Amino acid sequence: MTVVRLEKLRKVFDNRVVAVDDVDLVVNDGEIVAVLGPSGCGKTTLLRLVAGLEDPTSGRILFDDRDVTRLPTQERNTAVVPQTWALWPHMTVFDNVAYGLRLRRKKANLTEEEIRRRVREALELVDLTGLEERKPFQLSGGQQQRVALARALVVQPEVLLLDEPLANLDAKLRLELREEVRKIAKRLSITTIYVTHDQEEAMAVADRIAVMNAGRLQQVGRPEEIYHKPANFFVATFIGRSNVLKGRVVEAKGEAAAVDVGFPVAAQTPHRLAPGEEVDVVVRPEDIFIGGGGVKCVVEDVVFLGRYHQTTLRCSGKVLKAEGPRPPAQPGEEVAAEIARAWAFKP
Amino acid sequence: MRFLQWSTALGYAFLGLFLVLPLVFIFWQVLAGIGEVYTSITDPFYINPSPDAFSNAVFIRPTDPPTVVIRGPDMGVVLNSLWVALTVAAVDVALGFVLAYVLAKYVFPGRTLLGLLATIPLIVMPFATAYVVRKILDPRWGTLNWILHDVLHLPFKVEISGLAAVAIVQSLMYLPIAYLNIYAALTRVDPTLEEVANNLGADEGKAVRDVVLPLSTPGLAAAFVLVFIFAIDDVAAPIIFQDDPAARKLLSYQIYSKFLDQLRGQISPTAAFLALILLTISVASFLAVRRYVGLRQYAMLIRQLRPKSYVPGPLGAVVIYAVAFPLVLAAAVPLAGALSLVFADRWTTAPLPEGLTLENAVERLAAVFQNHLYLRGMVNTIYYGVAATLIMVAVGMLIAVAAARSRGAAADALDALATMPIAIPGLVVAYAYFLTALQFATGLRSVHPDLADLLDPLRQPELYLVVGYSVRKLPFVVRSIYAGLQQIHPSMEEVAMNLGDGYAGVLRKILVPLLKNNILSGALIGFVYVTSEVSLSITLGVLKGVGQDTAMPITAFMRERFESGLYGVQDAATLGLLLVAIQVAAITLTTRVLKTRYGFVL
Repeated sequence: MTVVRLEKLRKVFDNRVVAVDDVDLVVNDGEIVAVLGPSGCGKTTLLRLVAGLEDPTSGRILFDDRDVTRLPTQERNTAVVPQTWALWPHMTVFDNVAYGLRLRRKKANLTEEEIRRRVREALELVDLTGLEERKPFQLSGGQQQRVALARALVVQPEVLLLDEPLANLDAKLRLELREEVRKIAKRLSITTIYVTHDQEEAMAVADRIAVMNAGRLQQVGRPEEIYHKPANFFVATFIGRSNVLKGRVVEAKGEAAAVDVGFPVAAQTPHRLAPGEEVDVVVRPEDIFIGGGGVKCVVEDVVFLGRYHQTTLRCSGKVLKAEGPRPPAQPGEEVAAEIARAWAFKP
Repeated sequence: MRFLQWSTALGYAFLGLFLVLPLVFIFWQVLAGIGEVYTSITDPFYINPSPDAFSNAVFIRPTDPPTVVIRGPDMGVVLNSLWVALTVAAVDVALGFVLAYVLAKYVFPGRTLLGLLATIPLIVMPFATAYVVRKILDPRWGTLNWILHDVLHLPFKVEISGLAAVAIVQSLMYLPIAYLNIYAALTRVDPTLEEVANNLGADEGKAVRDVVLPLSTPGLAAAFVLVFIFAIDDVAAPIIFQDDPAARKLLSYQIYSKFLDQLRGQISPTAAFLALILLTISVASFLAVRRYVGLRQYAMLIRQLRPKSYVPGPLGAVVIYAVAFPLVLAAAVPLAGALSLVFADRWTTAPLPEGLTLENAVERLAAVFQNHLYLRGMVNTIYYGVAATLIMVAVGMLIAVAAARSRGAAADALDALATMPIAIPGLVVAYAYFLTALQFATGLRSVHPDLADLLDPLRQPELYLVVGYSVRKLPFVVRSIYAGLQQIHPSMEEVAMNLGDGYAGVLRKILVPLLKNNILSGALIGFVYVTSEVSLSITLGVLKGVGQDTAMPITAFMRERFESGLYGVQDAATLGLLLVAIQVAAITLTTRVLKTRYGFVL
């Protein structure tokens, strides 16, 4: 099993476009790390660098202690599942899955019978038994995705690299398959890098999340760390829903600060702040409790969104969105709102 | 990836050796004889923009009844070539637009028939269009004057000759190129763009003016430039009309005749200079449009959607039935006329071919197959076609993969260079090959006489013909494979490599099976274009003369027979029928079986 280590990895296209900028990341043996970020942030390039499909401009890629930075993709023993799945339309499901094994026939001393057995097992793993002779276009989207996964898994790669593998599926299927992908990767204990722009998918699949923006890693941590203790303003606003308020520091001590945003807010901060300093305060909607003590607000609107009600509040001239299981009041009514948790970041 | 670097290098080596180097040699020839070039080029024979040039362009000859003579202005070789090609391009783009618009945008009874008729002129029978038009325009026995005078009883006759006749022939020959490019441009515009305009209140005219036309302008520009290049390079029409001295005053004809002089030992820097002018005009116009087309591709769809269509109003109906149908029928007349020569007893002093019977055709076909020289010509044509196609597919595959899959200026430049032969006149290629090879073989003779014999273009023109054909028609194969590659996501190859395969394996196991239709249709189109090629065939092809070991392909025999007149013409048409059969088979295979596009769309 393999530990992937990226050291100061950098990729510049055409001498001007920095796609990946000094990335340091360790993916532990059997761990699933989701690389999460907005479109164009460099996450697919990062995955392609690990796969050996792009050459880094500088930096190193290590599998355990082996430096694979300049190793061609064929020799890395990684397996990629691209966003398009890239199933070869002229081959059957069986031939698609057997492709990698046939290439290893001599090296791994595989007989045709052994190849058949392993393809059967891989298809069984992804629940596609019986579809061996179909062509990719005869399968549904979900089935095609599973074939791509089986083709990657059958070669027993050291590292599994998934590039938005569920992006082309409908919402319901995505929910089903993401659980399945995690289950399979965990069952086989494969070190996995999973690229996605969908934060919920990242949280559902990954042991740890690496949030990326503009080519740089912003924060790496467990989903709850990322969510509850964001390292910077980007992570705080990219993950989950949030209210952003401009404010001024009244008092600061260590990781705690009292901030005036038009009303007083107690915030945590990763920075060393000084009184009078301007900050951006981020408050999650579920951290606003209505009906207890706190700042006086007027309810402007209440919307039912299925799992919760979203309440729009106007508090000392500032608009805040709060979420709760029940509608707290009718529009126009005055309520007291308590902000249980907030973060303050330097702008 | 090393494979891509190797294929890029091989692509450059092939095109550098067989395209760039010989062309550079022409340039060197010009520099070597710059004094003679200057003396001859200042002669009014080459450039003569004086008002007198127009005095004989159109006039009335006082015969009974009077004859309106249309010859076109004679402004010297260089300007004549320009005005004829520009006129042909303008006429073809205008007519091609009408045809393409009607077929792309209207739903009407007879649409399928019109589409079918519009593809007929795609079938090329070299020299035949020009010959049949000459028969139709013949002032004494021609079909045109028979209709005007004997049928319609109009009080005048018309004589169209010289440059005007060449322009008419070329307009008929290249109409399909304009039509195909414009049709492709019109159908590539995303229909939803037009639907939104309609939805916001624009009627057909407004939506087309505001949305379709601006987005398809690159297609119109491409059509214009392609027709212009093909027309300025054409030598078949001037050869057929060479009885009129004005028809000889064109760059293509001058280079052709000077090539033949050269065989008699008269090395002429002027010929090299004329070739250079022709090359410069063609390449410059091609580069200009390529850049423009490339810039505007963003608005176009890669995949083909059914374009937005309209039910024609009264004006549309007039355009369909009074313009488009007569136009495609007129464009099909030369081919029909040429084919009728195979079935006719004769077509000499009558306005139409006489005595059409099936027996005539069978007899002529039998005669052609019993003639040793013609059989030799057929074998040559097939040999050149197969050999050149094999080279084109191998080199074309490497270049297309390198161009489509590598990043950077080198790949872009290779792609441009591989498409460039479309803009390089065949006569210039022939001339460059001949000069370079002759010089090289002469230099080699003192060192290695056997090898010099083997490379001597006068003894072994076949070698240069095969390479020349493959270079000239390479763009058709490259574009076909490149188009296929654009439809294949690179991740298909990446996954295979990631699983352990090398690029050669990927090529064999993934790309070739996925691209087989594109490769086949590219090869078919390449083969057909080689078999019907004119410029190299009538120059390099005749270097060994008409003996038992002649290197002449069918097209060279056709030129010789069409020039000989009378029964020779019918032999030529019968040989042409064989080429037509090959082309019909290729068109049917590419469009119906392989479902790809036949013909060149820039």
